[in-house]
Amino acid sequence: MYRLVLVGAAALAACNQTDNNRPATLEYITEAILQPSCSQYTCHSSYRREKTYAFDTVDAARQSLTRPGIVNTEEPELSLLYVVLTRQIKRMPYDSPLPDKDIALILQWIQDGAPGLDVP
Amino acid sequence: MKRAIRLLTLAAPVAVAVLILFGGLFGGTAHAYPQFQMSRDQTCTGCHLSPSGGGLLNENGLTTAEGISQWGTAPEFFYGKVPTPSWLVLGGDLRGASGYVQTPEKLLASFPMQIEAYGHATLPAGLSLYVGVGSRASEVGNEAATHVWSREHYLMWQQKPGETGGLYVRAGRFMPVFGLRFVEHPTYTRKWGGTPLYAETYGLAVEHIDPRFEVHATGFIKDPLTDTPEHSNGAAAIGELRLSEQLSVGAEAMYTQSTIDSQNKEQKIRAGLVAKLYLPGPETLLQFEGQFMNQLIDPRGAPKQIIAYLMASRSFDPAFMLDVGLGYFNENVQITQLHREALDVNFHWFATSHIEAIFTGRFETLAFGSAGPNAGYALAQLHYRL
Repeated sequence: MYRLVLVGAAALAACNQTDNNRPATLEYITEAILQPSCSQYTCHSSYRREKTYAFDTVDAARQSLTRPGIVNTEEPELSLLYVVLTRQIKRMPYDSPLPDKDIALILQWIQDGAPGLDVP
Repeated sequence: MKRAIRLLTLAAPVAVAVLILFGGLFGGTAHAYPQFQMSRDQTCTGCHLSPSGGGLLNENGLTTAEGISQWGTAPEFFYGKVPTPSWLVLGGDLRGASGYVQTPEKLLASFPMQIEAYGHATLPAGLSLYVGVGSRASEVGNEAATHVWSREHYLMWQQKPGETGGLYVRAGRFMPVFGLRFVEHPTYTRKWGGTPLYAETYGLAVEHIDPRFEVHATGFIKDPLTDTPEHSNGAAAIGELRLSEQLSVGAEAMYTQSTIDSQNKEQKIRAGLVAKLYLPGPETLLQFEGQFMNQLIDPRGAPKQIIAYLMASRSFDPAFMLDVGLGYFNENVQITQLHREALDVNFHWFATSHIEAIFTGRFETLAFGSAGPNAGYALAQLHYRL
């Protein structure tokens, strides 16, 4: 049955798959990537605010990502958000790394000037 | 010496973060085992007071706890040394774990998972009150008031008090009834499938339990009192039909809506299938859940996800159980290489009616290792049921 599901998933996915044309917007990145992967209750939720960051809503993400150095549109790869997702030590998320394409979309959003964010 | 101090200085924040995270990741698992269904009792209410399972055990559940354990011991609350009136059932769970984590940084971690006590009071007219109280990570800036909380508290009406079937209506705070309701909340169908850890909220559930079929329908709201992982209003339903003593099939659906900022709303629509097949020869139970989820964020972004989990569980007399699980999660089927897979292994030893030792391990790949680093853990867990 598991194989059937895998085959079904692969068939469904293969129907209309693209490389990575998802919207590089704050709304999409928050709701599709940061919220499900980073804002578990004991981590970056509005409740817990681990390290003072929260990513469970767009407003909370906007507030967290606006701080100096978190998003660096001048040198996107030096943005702390990008660094913590890609480094080998103290990499985030701690329980399960993000796929490369999610990280690439976040980098793309920063390279585009981080629309939706008032970067200082 | 300086190097050692420097290493300790570097390692301490990492260890604290891992402790906090995994304390959350693995904490709060109050349920017993859906794996017992079909091999022992057809329904959750065969062993539990709650129609959706988990928490306090009924008389049959206590007998089962004693019967499957290596050394028996009195299964009652505090070994029966603390007598309670017939209308009151008390219990609790303590859990902790220690082991190896690789995500991809390699670490050793030890953490508490659960400190929780429950009470169930039988009231007149088929009513009962269920309250759980436990410890949790506190809210930043409001530590004193939030370290202790109640994940579940609800008023329940039961059509047939004292029996394990019929109609149930619950109002209060509890987890929306959805999916296979595995104990292990890192399973993909819980973590990504609508019932992550601590997603209990206020709602109303109407449930019907019968040996041949069961139906659960829950309407719920965003918790108005505390911030939870899910910020949604919504509804969930699941129905299971037992086609024979060995086979059951079911369907599920969930709709949620939440406000993501001052201008936008997000909707999630989930639909899925569940199935259970018990193989009497090898005494193995196969459980499967497959979900399709459409997340509506904005007109250009609507990820279509697939979340699936297959678990095979085998009991070894007198007191052992092995689970092997396969998880599949595709966070957007329209984009290549956004799927991940997990192989989970849990080995349970029911030492006494109250003490359980568990080895739990996971190996996870991102698109079979082609889209990022692999991850995993191997943990020893100790569970004491009061």
